[in-house]
Amino acid sequence: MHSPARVSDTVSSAGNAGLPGDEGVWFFIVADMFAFGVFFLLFTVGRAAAPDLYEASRQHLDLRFGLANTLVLLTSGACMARAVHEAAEQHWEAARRWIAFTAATGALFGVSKAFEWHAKITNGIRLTTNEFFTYYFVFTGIHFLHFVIGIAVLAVLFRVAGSADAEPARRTRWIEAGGAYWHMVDLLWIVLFAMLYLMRAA
Amino acid sequence: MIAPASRRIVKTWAVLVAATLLGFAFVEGLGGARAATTAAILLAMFKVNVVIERYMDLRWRHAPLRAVMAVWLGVVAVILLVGLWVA
Repeated sequence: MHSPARVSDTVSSAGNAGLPGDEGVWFFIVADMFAFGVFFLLFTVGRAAAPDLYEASRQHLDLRFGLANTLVLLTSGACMARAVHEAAEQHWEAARRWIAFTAATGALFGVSKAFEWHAKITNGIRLTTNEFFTYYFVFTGIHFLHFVIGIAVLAVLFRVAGSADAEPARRTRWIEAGGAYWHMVDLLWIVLFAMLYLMRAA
Repeated sequence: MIAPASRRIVKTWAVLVAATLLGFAFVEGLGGARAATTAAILLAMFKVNVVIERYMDLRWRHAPLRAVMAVWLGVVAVILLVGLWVA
């Protein structure tokens, strides 16, 4: 017995040139990633100019929070990959379930980040403490904003996956596009974690 | 029976988690500071590449976008590594 064609294959061959999801979302993702690239450059230049200040400040970060956040987002990303796969196979209930798991595990990132920022602020570390912490709060804050948007996107995808009226191809395209966005949140955090928490001075 | 796609996703997740823990272990005490940090940054770049290829599903799809992602990854790696070694 032949297995049914994946909807994403149909979408791909229908003019999307093999791109998963939506071209507009990919344009946004690439633009956003390059904007973060500028942030990474700014931080690195600042660090090269004042390595002692950056190292002393880095030591105030709790690596356990950074590690936990990374593991949580990686797990959430795996759930999203599974949701996209289920959507491509037109298993809508399974897709909804995995989208819900993605949001639930992702929410732990938000809780952990809130605890981490709270601990910093109660210890007297703020946006204006020094250049390192200005970058720390601004970059992790902008990333957090992306995360919050991602949670809202997941809520929409949960609804879309359960919407029997919508065309399957359209539903799959939405879930692939939302998935790509969620993975971008994940990969930007991987770089932020390495840059802010792991870059030790010589 | 576990479907091949589920197995692939779990395997990818395990690789990402292992790379994360290894990078953390390097920085937390295995090796000299600069070498350990270099290893941690390279592991982070490896993880980003895995996310792009396996989770974003770009490994065999849309070569131009894959190329743009590769350029981004290369530029970010150079920025972090040069920044680390000149500081």
